Amino acid sequence: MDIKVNPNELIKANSRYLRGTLEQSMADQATGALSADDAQISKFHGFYEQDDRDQRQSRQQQFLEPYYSFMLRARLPGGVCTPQQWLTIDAVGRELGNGTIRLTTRQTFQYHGILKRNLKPLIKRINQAMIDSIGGCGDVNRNVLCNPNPEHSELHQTVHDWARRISEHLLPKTRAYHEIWLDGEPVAGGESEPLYGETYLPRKFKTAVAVPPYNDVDVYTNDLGFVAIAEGGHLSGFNVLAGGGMGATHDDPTTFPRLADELGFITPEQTLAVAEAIVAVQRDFGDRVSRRHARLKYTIQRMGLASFIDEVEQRAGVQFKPSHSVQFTSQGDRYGWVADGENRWYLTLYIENGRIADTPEANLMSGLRKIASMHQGDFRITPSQNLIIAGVSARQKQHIENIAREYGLISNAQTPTRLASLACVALPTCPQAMAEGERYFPRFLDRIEEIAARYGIQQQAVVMRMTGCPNGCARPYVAEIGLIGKGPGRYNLQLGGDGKGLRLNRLFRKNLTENELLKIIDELFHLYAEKKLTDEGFGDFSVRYGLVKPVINPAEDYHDTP
Amino acid sequence: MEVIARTKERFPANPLDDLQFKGLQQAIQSLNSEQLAWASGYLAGLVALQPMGNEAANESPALTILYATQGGNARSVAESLAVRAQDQGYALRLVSAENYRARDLAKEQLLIVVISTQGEGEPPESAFELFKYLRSKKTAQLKNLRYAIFGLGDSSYDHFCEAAKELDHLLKAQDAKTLVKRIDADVDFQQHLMHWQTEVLQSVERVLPSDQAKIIPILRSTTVRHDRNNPYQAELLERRRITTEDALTEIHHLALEIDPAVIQYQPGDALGLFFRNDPAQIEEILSLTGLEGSAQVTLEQQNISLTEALTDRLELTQLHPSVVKNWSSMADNRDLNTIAEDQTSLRGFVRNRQLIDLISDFPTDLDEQSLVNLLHTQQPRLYSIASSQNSIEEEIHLTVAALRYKSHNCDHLGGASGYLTQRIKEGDPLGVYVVKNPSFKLPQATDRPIIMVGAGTGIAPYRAFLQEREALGSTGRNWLVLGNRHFHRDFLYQTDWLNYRKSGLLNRISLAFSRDERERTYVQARLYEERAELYHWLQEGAHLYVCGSLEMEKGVHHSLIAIAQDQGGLDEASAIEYIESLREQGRYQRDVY
Repeated sequence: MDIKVNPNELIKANSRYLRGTLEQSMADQATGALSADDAQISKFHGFYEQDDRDQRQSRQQQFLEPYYSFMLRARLPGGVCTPQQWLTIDAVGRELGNGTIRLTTRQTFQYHGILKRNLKPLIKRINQAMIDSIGGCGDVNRNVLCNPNPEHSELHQTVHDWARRISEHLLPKTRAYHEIWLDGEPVAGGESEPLYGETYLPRKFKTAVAVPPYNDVDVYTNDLGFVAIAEGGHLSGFNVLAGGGMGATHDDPTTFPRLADELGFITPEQTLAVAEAIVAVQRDFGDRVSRRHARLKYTIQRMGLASFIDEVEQRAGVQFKPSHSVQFTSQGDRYGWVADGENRWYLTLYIENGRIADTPEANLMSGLRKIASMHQGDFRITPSQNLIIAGVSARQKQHIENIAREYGLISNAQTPTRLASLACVALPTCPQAMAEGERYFPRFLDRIEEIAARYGIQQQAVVMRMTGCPNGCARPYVAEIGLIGKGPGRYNLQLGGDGKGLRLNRLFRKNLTENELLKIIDELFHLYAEKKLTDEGFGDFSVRYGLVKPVINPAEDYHDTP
Repeated sequence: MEVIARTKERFPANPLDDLQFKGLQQAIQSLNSEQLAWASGYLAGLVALQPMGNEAANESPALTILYATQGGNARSVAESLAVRAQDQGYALRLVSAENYRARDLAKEQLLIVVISTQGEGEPPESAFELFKYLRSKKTAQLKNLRYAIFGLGDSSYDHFCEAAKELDHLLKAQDAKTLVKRIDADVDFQQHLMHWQTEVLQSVERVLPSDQAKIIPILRSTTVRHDRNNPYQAELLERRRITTEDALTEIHHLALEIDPAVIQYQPGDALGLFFRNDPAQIEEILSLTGLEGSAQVTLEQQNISLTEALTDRLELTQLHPSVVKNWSSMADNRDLNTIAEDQTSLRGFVRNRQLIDLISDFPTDLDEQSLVNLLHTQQPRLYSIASSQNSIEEEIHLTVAALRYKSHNCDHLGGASGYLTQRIKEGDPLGVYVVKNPSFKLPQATDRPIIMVGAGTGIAPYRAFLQEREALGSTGRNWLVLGNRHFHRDFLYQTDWLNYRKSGLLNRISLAFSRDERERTYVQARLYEERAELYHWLQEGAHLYVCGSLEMEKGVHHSLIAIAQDQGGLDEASAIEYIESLREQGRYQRDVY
């Protein structure tokens, strides 16, 4: 047999538990980049090497290397941070990043445009505020999502604690991060990585905790999912899900998005053992030859669900009980003020593209800084790249609302579709991007809104998600309308998500230009407005009407024609 | 030129002077290896037949013409004098200062020196040894010596012709006699040249009548030589800006096409070039003076239009003190007169002004011909060559920074740099000639390590050095120390250096970007930081090069002395001596402007 292990596996194995030659790469003043191997290792420390793709050609002409900078993604389990932490996040973004903060679909924030020389000071600063970036990217468990449910503060507190504990439990144990960035003492040999081993996981690993009926974390799109089961407002356990994932490769039928399978119900104290066992099975059974097929979803597909469950139960020493039945009703955020039972208030702000900046249109960054300097509760970043000002006392409610309005953080101008939609970062910084994402999406939505208004459906929310590539950061495969970048100015059009994150959509038309897209969507909205049933969402309509066949088993039928 | 280099390497004490050596080269250039082998036997046979040295022309030359050149002007003055002297039948020795043994001064009878001045009144690098000898206490009496000095300088700088003045003083101090009075020639030196040559030759004739002098056969070069009087027309192949839009300085990379059979250069050499003045500025001059561009004027015995004279022939951007003086006598403006009367304020005045400022601020009536008579002819500008002919045979690369400055509320653009960075188009011809720079050369031994220190466009010759070392497969280690303002904006030729580092040619690169951090860091500070490594390289025989502004060079020099003290455990005087000894060994070479 002539099988070559993926080169990334060797890089990890030779990295001395994620040290690599990062310190030499950081000290090299002749380039703004890292060595190629270190650019892989750096992901485990939370940052990606990127370059300004708009400047690539001109700089090449100028005998200058690409304009390299770094994207650093923090670890912020469940997206919760204090106002004091927010002030640090804000200051660091202004002083050491590109002046913006990007909220992400993984309920954390990331900085763009960090120059190499600013990386270490930046990492130090956020760590001083008790925020790290370990596993922000890389082949380990990433930031753990958790429903930021504002209505049941006690249940949220308990569930969020579990999210945090899962995150801590699945952290790499290497001291490399502390040594390199925080000037920690070097470890005198004998270091080990009991869970991950020296090659870590074959691929990234995503975990989410959902609290029904809200599926704002898109729990089925994660490698590992926990669905909180509450009885009388108290947590009784979790339904465990495994094997979800968004990424696919264009025109490669061996790759596909997949929703997670249900493994069964567990009690809260079994949580960490089960999480660890699932990670361990993926560590041992995952594909280390082809990164394209290395996510847990392919491992389960290959092993078969029954053997996978056996393996997990054996390793965890846990028997899954039958899953509790749950109902999910929506996958997006609910905006505006809501109260919990204890007279505290929660304000969900729509942040377009999750991008917090001061621009000529609105000084969002300054507004949030002003709120953070007087707010007594906490901040919660949502899985839809939005922000909740959480736990506001009745006394401060009006004051905070006034600031939010003054700085353009609240506006009543957005349509339901815009509020339900997402786009990823894409160009010019993301190295994977094939087409535009957040830079273009708002303008595209303008056109969509015109069409919706033409057919009188502007009050109907349609979950639209655009990504610049098929890797799926904005979870486009569970949108009612998914737009997946194929090339400059061209997108694949996907239809058929159910608006709750429980059904995959399917490719409807390939490789469309903006004009082609708008023309087709015009026809579809026209049809929808005429033929929809009462309260029928656009995704459900497109399946019922036969525009696309529903995806039953993606490994078998995802690549069927509509 | 490779022939010279290798020959000198094998026979370090080359007894031939420049003319003899050139004659020898011409005589043998068409021979194949078999013929060369025969000829060497033939020459060896001749030596055997003659008593050693008996008839050698330079044993006791009647006349020695010595030049110490920076931009090539001193050399061309010396050469044209040599040609005239030879025409009169004098056996003479024409020699560049770096090939001249200072102790031979005692044997000279007639010495003509052509010397330029660089930096702050210093002699050119090539005359360093000569001056060191004359300044020392070991100097022999020179009672039998008669000498003449032609000094070249620019009166818009302080220390005008200082090297010539000092040499005059030093020779007098040793009782040498003046043959003809020293000339301190300004940028328009051509106008003094014929008269001075005639005067020198007449004096030589009186001291040493030519019928008593040895008559030597005259060897005339048949190949066309390109120099400032006969520039080669190179074609611009490409020009591109190599600093970003937000960089503080606009720097361009230019590639010129040349015929390698006609134009040869070595890494370290400079390119002299002529440029076209800005048509917009000429329009402004015409409109301010009310002169007619189409009017015919006479310039150097030619009839041309005023526009043509202003565009291609006259100096408009480097304002010369003598032009200001003459202008003031016509304009009769009290302020200008005051300035013109005082050398210091005159120098300050011309530093940041161009002709256009004079015309607009101090209007006067004049006609087309008087404007032409008033102005100097255009001076060629020199740029270090940024390529190696062994690597790219048919091209010359230049690195040109646009000189921009604001002065008394007007924006100014340099003449040559403006043409080269803003106006010249691909395919346009450019008059150029190679200016040899023998005192800025790679070590002959290709396994010697080198350390290259430069800031701004001063890194240009190092691109040539590294191209050369790559093309020759030189094994010596290479260390580049670069400075500029911003890593992301003006890291000149970054990808070239990174490629050389990747290929293993460039062993070490150190950088100082002065505006990236709150505290400004320059190359000299970086050198001191890396002093242990630097000293180690020097101890291993490394050659050290410094190219860039005078100010940077000063900083580097201080830094080197401090490094020698710190690393060599030397006191200050010994550290200075150590650095001087590197210079004497040719291991510390500078190209400073």
